[in-house]
Amino acid sequence: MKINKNIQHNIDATFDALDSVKEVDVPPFFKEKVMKRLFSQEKEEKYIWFWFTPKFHLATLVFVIVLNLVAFTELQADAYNDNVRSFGTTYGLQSDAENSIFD
Amino acid sequence: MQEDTFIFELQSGNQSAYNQLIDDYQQKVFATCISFVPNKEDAEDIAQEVFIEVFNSIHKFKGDSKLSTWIYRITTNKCFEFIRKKNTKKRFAFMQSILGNEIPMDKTSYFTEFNHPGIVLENKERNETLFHAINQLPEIQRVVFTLHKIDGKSYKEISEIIKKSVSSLESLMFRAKKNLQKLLENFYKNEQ
Repeated sequence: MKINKNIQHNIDATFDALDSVKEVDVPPFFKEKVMKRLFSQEKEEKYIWFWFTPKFHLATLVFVIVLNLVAFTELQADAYNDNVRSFGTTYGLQSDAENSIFD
Repeated sequence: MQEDTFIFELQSGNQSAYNQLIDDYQQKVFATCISFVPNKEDAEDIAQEVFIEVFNSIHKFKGDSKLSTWIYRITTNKCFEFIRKKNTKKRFAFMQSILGNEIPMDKTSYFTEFNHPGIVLENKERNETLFHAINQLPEIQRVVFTLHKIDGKSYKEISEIIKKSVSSLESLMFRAKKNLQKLLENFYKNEQ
């Protein structure tokens, strides 16, 4: 009984302690810090390429590399065809003159 | 300045409008933050995030509530975002503690260092105990109890912020007090 009274006294005192909590003033220069964050953030967004984030950088790089690989492969194939045609013409295996219906 | 005009200025990104906004709300926002998060530095960080969020989301404000209500709603959400990130307490511990199991309130697992300048030294330990107990309440009870008892808001204001009727708030308050009573009883019983 005495223990319960003691516990209840502690509980009541704990709830009562809440009434003693005083208001805390906002820290000094709070407004200045917030204004700086707000309006320096706004300036960053005004740059034209602000949307060009690192993931777009990577995507563009991969695209350029793939494009170059495709172009290189095509170039290799064209070079091979040219070499074959040139060989054929040199050794008379292929005529590079076109037949005309007027001949 | 009329509220509609003021909101228009804020949506236009007018710097002097934001100057005015911070002048009007910095104290109230900070007071609410420190009520939920009793650490001065953390409360300041959260309060800054509130104004950043207002700046970024003002275009979404439809005017279906007062500007102050909307700002308090953002404040409450930001406080809980912070608490959720930091809180390591398991949810089931609340159920175990109200059922009288011997799981004492673990002050070492509180989500922040207790540093509330508005609490005098002689009451620090009791208030710390109470804040730990509040942290174990279900979120909705914690919101209502904190906004009403610590931040000093009326039921009418709270009902607008969290979109619940006053009668629901009274019921939540009753349950919060009952649960706190149980938590504190177990705490003081284990202390003896």
